[in-house]
Amino acid sequence: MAVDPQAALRTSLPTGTSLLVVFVPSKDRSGAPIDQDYWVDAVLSTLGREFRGATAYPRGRGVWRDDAKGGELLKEEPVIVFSYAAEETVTMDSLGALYRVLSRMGRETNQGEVGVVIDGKYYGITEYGEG
Amino acid sequence: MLPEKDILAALHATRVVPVPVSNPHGPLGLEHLAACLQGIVPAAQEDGTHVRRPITLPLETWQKLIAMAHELEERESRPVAPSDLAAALVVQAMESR
Repeated sequence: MAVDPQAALRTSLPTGTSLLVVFVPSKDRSGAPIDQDYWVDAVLSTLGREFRGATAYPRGRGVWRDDAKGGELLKEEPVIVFSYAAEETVTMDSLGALYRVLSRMGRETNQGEVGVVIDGKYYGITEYGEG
Repeated sequence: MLPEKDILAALHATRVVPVPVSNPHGPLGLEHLAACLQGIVPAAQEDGTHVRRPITLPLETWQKLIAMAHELEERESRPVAPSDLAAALVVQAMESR
């Protein structure tokens, strides 16, 4: 008999909840490491202030061999920061605050693009205004 | 919930891409989301020497790439995306020309 795990475990998001996910990179576009802890704190603070809570989830450390670069080992360890936000808190003002921190992160850490996933859609940001 | 055009405007976003994982649950869900985003978010290595282009492959070819990527993951104990494998194969083939 087929079982719906979400129904059995009651793991669906509460009605009226949006999931926002931000990936904080570990290096800039040229491969140089960035102050990731600082930016994780900055994103956490913004999500906490605007959406009443957030969690940073460090992924497993990874390494891969880039044979196109003579076997150079490249490491990428982005931190996932997410927030379950009540829909009424996802406003133009709160997203504007999120834009300001992401824009600053993109500009100051020399990213080609930063982005946020909101309810299953990735929004890519390449224009880093002063906010 | 704000309409997409308002979110785009508030975030000054230049593009919006649907993500196949709409409702990730827990750490594994977030890992799944992160894996899906690998094909969406520009890699940090994009520094003017690399480009990202969408290409079309036969379904059978893609399925073989997925299987090969799984084999590599198990053998080398590191994540291997089918798209990265496809890129490596193309680079290797072109270097031999």
